[in-house]
Amino acid sequence: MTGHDVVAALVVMQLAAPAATLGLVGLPALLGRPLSERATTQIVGAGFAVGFLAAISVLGLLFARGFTPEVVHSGTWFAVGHHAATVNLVADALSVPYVCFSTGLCWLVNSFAGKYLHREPGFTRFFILLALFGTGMNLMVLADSIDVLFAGWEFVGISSALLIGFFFERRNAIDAALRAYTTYRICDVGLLAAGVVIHRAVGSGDFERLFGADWPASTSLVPAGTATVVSLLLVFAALGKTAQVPFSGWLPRAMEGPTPSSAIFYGALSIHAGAYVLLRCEALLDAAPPARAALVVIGAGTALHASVVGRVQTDLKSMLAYASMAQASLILVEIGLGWRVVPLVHVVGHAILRSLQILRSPSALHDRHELEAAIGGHPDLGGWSPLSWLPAGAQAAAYRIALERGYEEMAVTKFVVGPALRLLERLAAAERAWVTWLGEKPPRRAGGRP
Amino acid sequence: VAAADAHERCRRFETARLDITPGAARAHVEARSVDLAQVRPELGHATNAVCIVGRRWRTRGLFLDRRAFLVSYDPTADDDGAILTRTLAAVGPVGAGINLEYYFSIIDRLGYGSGTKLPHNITGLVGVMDGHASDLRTGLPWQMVEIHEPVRLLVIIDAPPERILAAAARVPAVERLAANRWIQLVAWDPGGSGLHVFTAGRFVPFEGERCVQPVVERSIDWYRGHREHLPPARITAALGGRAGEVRA
Repeated sequence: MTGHDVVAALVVMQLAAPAATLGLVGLPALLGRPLSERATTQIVGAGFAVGFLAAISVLGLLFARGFTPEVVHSGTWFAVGHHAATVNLVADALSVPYVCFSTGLCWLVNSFAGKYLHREPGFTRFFILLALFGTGMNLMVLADSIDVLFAGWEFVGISSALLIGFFFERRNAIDAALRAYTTYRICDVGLLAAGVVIHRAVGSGDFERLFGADWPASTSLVPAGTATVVSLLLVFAALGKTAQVPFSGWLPRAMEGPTPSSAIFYGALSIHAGAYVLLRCEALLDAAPPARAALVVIGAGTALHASVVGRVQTDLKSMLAYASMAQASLILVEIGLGWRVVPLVHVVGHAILRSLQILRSPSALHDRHELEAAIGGHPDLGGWSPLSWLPAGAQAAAYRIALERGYEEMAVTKFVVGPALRLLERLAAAERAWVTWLGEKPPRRAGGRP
Repeated sequence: VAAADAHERCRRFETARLDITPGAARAHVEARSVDLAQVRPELGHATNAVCIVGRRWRTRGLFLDRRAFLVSYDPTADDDGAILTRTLAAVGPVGAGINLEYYFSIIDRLGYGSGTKLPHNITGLVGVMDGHASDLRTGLPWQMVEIHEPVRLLVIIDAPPERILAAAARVPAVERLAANRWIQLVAWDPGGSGLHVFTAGRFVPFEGERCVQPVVERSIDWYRGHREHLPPARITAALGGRAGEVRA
């Protein structure tokens, strides 16, 4: 067995282990005989543990060889003419540390949720979705072609929406899930279109035909025009999952699911999925100044928006959602500036801190009491804010804008959703009129009746 | 004692094995109390059903399954009922308040209770709401009441019926609770005339079926291996060999 075979087996294991738990836990549940809570948690946990250990081993092997990437060819998904969608995975300086971190977090949240969801009616469902998410995340991270990446991206999106709607008996949860899912789908168009453009430009979705040299020193192999189009589409795709203005409204609402899923999705992994895709394709961004400029402008704008709006939120999970949004926006700015290692470090650091904060949020009253007991009074949390430099009138205006969440939703509803709905309603009315008109038309020939 | 106490609480926790040892039970409840992921650190007053106001020796050796509020009161040192009045003024509203909070939180988990804890979101450091936006949730969460049995508080008072009537008449809150049947008052007559149930404004002698009370040496012999509610039992180890004046 050569070194390549060992790495290949370990990389496939990072995908296969969580995917296998999906079947092990999902099949008995489908057959109406769900496993016990303990077995469910242990199986899903074991899947993540195996994936994590495999990822750590690959990291060690890669480190020993100076981070030379290993591409694993797992076969062709489908081939039409000269187009081929191959299932290629890559172990390099970006994907392997990322898998270590994401699978490790999934493993941790799995242990947390095993206790947190004890006796909950949707217990098995939660762990099935968590395993689906872990599989999708690893697929997306290890992908060495835009097709595989898109498949993983979709798994992440659907599991995220289903977990927001976890308490499907509550209207708010369903509305929030639908809102997130709609936002995702709109932005997914960007990723799908980017895939089509890449296929047309280089004849396959493989990244090795797009990028020369290894991450983080990768360079673009395609003409600047193609790179610009693909980059802009990828930026559009990233806006949804990263909750950038004008697609940010779903994120605070997404805090409807159980706390552990909010922590791993909106504090840690799902929120950074867009940043990961951009990091992976940063060679294209380097050749596309308009896309980088767009990232910096949107990222900086959203960071400002999230920071101001987050200050007036009265509930803990909305505060954390806006804090998450602000950091994710800064990460996009860093990517837009052409940095590679800094955003990666920022992602990992932010994800770990934020998921801890969200997991701790149910204990906030308890923590507060302990703090007050320890210092013998109310802590002075007034603090300094950059907004205090503004003149009084501007401060009041900023406060009003923040309370209305920057009028973002109002604008989107009024100028985008409303016209779109009216257009669809008009089309539906036209269809009804047309069908009625067709129905009223007398038959030209008397046909034989059955 | 701490280990034995922890062991008795552990029988209600599904994550603690039924054959757990007292030492392990203590470690288990200590770990629960500091576990961020634990939504049931303790079960609190869940299952509460009875409040017994009286001399402690009258219930000594009686296994009440942690379902009773025990309030000390000595009827022999309170001829004018002044102490009983003060005791009832505190015990009635507080005990009934706790009991009814559990009662209503379980009969309507979403309306009076606050649903499951899992999506709860702390708001303004004053309370919780469900997820991103909802009314403030004021009742008890499902995790706190799931093993509760919705019963009204049975208040058993070690005092003559007339003294209880007089005391209740002096505390309007208690009188309203009893008259409107939010609680059930029972007089456990120190004079030996048995139990009297408060019905339609007066105490009538209790005519219950006679049941044989199980007798075990230690409480662990009675609850070991059970998670469900248990009927009272006589614990001989607590009586120190002499028969107490315990009545069913």
